[in-house]
Amino acid sequence: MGKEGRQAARNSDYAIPKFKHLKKMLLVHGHYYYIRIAELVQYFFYKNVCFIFPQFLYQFFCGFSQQPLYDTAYLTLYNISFTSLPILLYSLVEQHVTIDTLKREPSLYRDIAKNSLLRWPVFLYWTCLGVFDAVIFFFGAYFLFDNTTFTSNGQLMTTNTQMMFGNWTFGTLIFTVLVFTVTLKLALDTRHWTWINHFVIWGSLLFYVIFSLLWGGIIWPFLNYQRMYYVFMQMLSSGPAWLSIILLIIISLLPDVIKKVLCRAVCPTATERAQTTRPCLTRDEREEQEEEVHEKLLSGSVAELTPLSFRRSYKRRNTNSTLLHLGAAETLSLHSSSPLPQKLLAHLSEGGRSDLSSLSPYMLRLSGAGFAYYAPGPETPV
Amino acid sequence: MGKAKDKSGPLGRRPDNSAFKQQRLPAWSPMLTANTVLPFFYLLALICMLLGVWLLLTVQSTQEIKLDYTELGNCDQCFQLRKNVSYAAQTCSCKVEFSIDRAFKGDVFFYYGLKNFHQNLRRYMDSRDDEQTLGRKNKLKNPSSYCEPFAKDAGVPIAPCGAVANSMFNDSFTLTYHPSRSRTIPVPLLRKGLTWYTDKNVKFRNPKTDNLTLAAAFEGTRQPLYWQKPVYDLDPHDPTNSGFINEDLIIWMREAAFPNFKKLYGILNRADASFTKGLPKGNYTIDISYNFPVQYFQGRKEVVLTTLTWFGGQNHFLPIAYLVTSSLILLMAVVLTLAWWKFGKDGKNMKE
Repeated sequence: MGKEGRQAARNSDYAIPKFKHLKKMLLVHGHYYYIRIAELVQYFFYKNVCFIFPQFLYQFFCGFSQQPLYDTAYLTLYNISFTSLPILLYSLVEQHVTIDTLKREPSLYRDIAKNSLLRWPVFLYWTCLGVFDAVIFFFGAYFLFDNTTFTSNGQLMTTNTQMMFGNWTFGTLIFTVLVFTVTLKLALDTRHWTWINHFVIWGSLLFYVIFSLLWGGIIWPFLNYQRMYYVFMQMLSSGPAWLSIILLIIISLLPDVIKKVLCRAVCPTATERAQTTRPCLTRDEREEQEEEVHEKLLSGSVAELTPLSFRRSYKRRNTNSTLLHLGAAETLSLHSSSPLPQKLLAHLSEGGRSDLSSLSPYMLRLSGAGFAYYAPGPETPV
Repeated sequence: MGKAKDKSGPLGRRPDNSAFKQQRLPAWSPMLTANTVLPFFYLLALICMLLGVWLLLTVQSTQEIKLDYTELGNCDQCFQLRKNVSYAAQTCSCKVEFSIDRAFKGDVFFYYGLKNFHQNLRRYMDSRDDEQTLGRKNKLKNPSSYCEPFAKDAGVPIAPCGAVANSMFNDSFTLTYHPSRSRTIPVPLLRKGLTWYTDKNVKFRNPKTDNLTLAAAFEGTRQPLYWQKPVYDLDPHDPTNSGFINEDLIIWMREAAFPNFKKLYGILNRADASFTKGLPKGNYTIDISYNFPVQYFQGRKEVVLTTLTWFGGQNHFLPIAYLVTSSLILLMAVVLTLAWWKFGKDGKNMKE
């Protein structure tokens, strides 16, 4: 690479030897990295809000005496073993859109431009969801336990017909609902289910159950308190406990699912549209499609599709990989509901090039608009 | 990046071309579209509705009667008496009357309830020694420091130590039935079989006796400060219900989650001829031996009689929650169907 090149490489965040690698690095790996990091950060705050807020609410009922709701083993292991692996593996292997689609439609990058997934509205949404879930967990369990005999009098257990549930059972019920809800929330957010995802998500839940059974299963010799002895099993042997666990999980997950489905139906983003399965077009088919749409344009319908007018001229040019040209990607992605920013429209109508002028061979600085486009030249095998 | 590899040449330091490292693992990509979600929502709404209705019907069949006897009738005198600590040794009893309009069919459960008694306070909950109640001999004479200041009484260890055991509820009740003005029938209550099996047989054990009497096994310890009887005398009629394995003690030691709670006192003994079907309707009296003072924490005491189903007592929360959830889901399903019909049908929004 040469002496100066090596120095430049050492100082940079990323160093690539050839220009053709830029495309995949930015459009695919950069996009994935952002999606994964955004989800990781938001999810961590969310699951910890869900974890701690019921404890906070409990203080109002225990005389503000800092009585923990969950047993110390659960407090310690929540962030270490019960909920750490799923999000870790999510942020390693998640692919919300396939690699080929990302390479083919660089305008998808627009959906994550300007740090859109880590802005205040999104963060507030996750936090409010966490608070909502925590309130549901706590008060759902509260109304079940309060002022009633929370017992099981079923035919299954003839000797233990009226089990009295106490403080630790209440906390364990909330904790069980909590672990299942946050893990299932991640499961609902995961779009790319490899065997690893299945393993860690279902494995974490299974580990929680097995750990609880073991922890409460024997009188531990070195502990001076035996408060969790048999608590988990007694809780599970009660019909109302099962029904309430299932109900509380459903209620907690409902708002997010509804929001996702509604948004996808009413105003889908370009990414969501790209996620619908579509066959990969060959180059000729694509050119045909472009011709069709261009004709539609000329008959004068949509003004914002000005980029298309340049496609004709760009189509036949050789791709100069040292400069990034403005070009429209797939026509489909242009029908995004989010309008193109005014600045870019102005650029396009002028027929100007992108203002990514300061392009050094090794480092890439994005323009204020945060876009990167590539000319639809010959598909480079990166 | 500096791992030495076998490969050499300009492409020697490439990452492996494996499926994992090149992110090409085979995967399933589900889609939360209207087609998949809507049928599921309708089904879920239906199931929740059915469950809610079934649970509601189950709950309606329970009956409950509650009596706050803190100052009721002549219990008021006992209440005033208990305000003075110096009369703590004096017994006081009072009578409470009530009547049932509809017979209680099935098993009837007798609870005592307390209001505003925070068994879930942190220092209170820590103040116990589970190893002592496990029956460990070394802990019997040497209770844990968590029990302070209820661990030793002038140098003599207390068994069972701690604030939880010390504040054990010690009112006792006797129920009588008056089928007519002159006749009275005592209502037998089973005072055993009330606890978790594991509590009674594993978690709470008396210290090993080796042919000694129970009193001798507790030699060298003293009863808790607020108790009227030592722990080995809690049930003079039944040695399997005395000592640490006394059922009232075990029930009390399982701390309640909230300041208003109920604990089981007894179950109707349906082996008796008059009560095979439950509690018949009519007038009843409860004779209460009033010991537990509640004015210090502005608490109330109550007595609850209730029938239970597999689902529990009179708790309308779960059936109503299920019904509300099912209607919410149904509403959202309808809204989503409309949204899908208007915007997303034929994938209109998905194409150009």
